[in-house]
Amino acid sequence: MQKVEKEILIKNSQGLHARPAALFVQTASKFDSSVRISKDAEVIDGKSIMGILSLGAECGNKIILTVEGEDAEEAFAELEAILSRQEPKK
Amino acid sequence: MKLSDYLSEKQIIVGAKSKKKKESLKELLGALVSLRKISPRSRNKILSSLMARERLGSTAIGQGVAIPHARLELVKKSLVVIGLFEEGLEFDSLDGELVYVVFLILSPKELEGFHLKMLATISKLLRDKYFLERLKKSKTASEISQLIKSQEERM
Repeated sequence: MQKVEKEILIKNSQGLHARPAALFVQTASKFDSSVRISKDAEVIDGKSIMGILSLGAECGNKIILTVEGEDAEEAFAELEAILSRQEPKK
Repeated sequence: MKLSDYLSEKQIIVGAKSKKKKESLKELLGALVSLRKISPRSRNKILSSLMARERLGSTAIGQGVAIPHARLELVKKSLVVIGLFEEGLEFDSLDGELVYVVFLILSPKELEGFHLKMLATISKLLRDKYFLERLKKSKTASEISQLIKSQEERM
């Protein structure tokens, strides 16, 4: 069992809104590993869009991403890329 | 932020009839026109903005819920309207399931952070499965309004 955990800074100018949340869940669901996100002592299931949106993570906020399971390393790399991606300001 | 501050009882539509995404959005916007919350002329512009957003990816977030939204200059005051579709809607949801509850969010263009905060507020309420089940089974707007207020008090 692998476990990867790291603090990530949200760089998306609009925060973790519905579109990145949906993309995150789609990607997380491809993997067997469990995915958790925590922010300000709140922990949610990273395979639930509702869970991610409930964090209300804004640009500049820090979250902790925890991925645990056989394919954790690969999953973590893909998920981290989604979270730290910058979207152009509209 | 509280959902009930942006949602009058009249903005809760129980027994909505549409079966498809676009029709359902039209139906909810129509209700807002009748309530004079938006002008008849702005309705089509709002509808195309909502549909453009849907084309980027469905706003159905699972468990029978969708949260379509638009941020537009012609919207002067942020508001939410809830539609309860008893028979279920096709909404291109990720989990392939029909949508029964729609939270339609409109906000002015300049209020950038509103939308994310409202999504968080609604998602926090919905994380409670018991709340969501009761919401889906509600029969009247006042029942839903009370349900939301009591859930907000508990949080």
